[in-house]
Amino acid sequence: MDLSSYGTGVIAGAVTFTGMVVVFLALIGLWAIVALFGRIFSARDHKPQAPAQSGKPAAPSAPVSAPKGNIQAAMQIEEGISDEIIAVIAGAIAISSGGVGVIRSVRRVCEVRSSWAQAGLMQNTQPF
Amino acid sequence: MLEIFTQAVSTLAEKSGFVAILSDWQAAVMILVSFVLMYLAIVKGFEPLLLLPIAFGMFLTNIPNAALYHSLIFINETGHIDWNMLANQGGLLDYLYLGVKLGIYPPLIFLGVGCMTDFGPLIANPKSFLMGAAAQLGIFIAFIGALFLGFTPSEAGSIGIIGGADGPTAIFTTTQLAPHLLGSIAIAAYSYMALVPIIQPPLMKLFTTKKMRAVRMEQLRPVSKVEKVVFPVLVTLVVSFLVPDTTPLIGMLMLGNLFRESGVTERLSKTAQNELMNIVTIFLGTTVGATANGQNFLTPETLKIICMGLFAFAFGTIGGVLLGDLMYVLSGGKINPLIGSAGVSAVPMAARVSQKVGQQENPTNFLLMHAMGPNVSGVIGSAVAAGVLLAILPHA
Repeated sequence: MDLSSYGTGVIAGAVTFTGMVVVFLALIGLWAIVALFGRIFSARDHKPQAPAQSGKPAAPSAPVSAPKGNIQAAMQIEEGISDEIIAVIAGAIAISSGGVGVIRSVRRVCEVRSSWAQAGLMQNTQPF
Repeated sequence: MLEIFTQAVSTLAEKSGFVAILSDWQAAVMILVSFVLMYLAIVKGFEPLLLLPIAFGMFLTNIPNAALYHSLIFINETGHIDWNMLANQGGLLDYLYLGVKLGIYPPLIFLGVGCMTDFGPLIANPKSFLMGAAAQLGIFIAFIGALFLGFTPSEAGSIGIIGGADGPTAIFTTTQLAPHLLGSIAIAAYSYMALVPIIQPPLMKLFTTKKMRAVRMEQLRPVSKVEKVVFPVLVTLVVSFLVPDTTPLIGMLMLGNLFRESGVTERLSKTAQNELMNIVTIFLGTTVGATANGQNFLTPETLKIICMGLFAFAFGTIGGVLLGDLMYVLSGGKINPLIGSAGVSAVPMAARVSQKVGQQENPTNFLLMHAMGPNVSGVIGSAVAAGVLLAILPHA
């Protein structure tokens, strides 16, 4: 393009505006397309699991053990959680809800990494 | 016999660099500059893979009477390569420089970069594209600054592209817009890329609060192989159709990535990211360094370029972080704005800086993979910005 007939201010403004608009347009377009693809593929990946779950509504999921006793008949408890812990949780819920709360399932929240995983990550990323 | 010996010694002395350097103070200074750059590369570890060949190329080109590189072959009144001069007087670095002048080396480097890049974090969190776009602000702010410092629009565009924090993109653009500034721009670009861990953290802290920096982001979703295979084709299609001038860079980057993700071209992928890339890096670095002779480099313009380069990096970081701040607010505090600074490219250094600054606030925070999204998006963004500059500004 011949820019010789324009002043410095005009060139600065025009090139900057055009540049930022085109960069944002290109990357917003890519964002939209990639997000769309992501949704399509996520939906496709989850499709086969849906009928399996709806087919057996009463069956507990893999890590959950069979119901224990009458008190826990409607409760799904993850393998490895002792009865004492369940009792403590049930007590806390009963106190905080005034005795009307119902526990449907108890499972570990795996948000916090184990100390070994934490140490490994720290070792690998700390030098950066 | 003694007479012949005396004459021979006299001739050798006249042709020797020791005598010639006395009448060429600029070459002497440039040799000292090259030693400083070698020190920075070897001892301080400043981007050694490129800075070391650049520094040695600078050293070689400034050796008096060695005639390894002739700038007149490439930069002359005709605006074209002087093939006659190349055939008659061309030195080793002149022939190798053809790969830079003809725009061959930077796309080949991008081929290797594509083979080494995992776009998974970007595909898993495509919002990162926005941060990669915002971080290109530095390019255009530096462009404006350079224009008002008296550079021509083409020179200003080449200086601005330093803010893309992407060596091959900067070299590719400068070769076409302002080849006489190539040495200064390449050295500024690679030096600032090495200084990213020093330049970015103060700006990142200035534009974020402690609460924002401590945000722990949700784990990224797994990305399927099909998505990873489709991605390079898709990006090439969209970007090359929108900005055809950037096709050599984006096309090679995405071809490399397709080699990596397709899973059927492992040998090609290994070659592109190892042997081919290393060979091209040696040629590119040495010949770019060779363009930095005293007449071109020891000028007030070089100082201005170095200042504008810093300006470009700073504003690129600010642009990315500010968009990160906006996304933090819009997402209800789910996005850590520190990952925005990684949008300046400088892969993977800028992402590591996000990780490090984030971990200073919350030692259990791991932002590295989240920051890789804007980081690789910045590579695409800077290539698009380069395409815009190449399309608008007059070529040399």
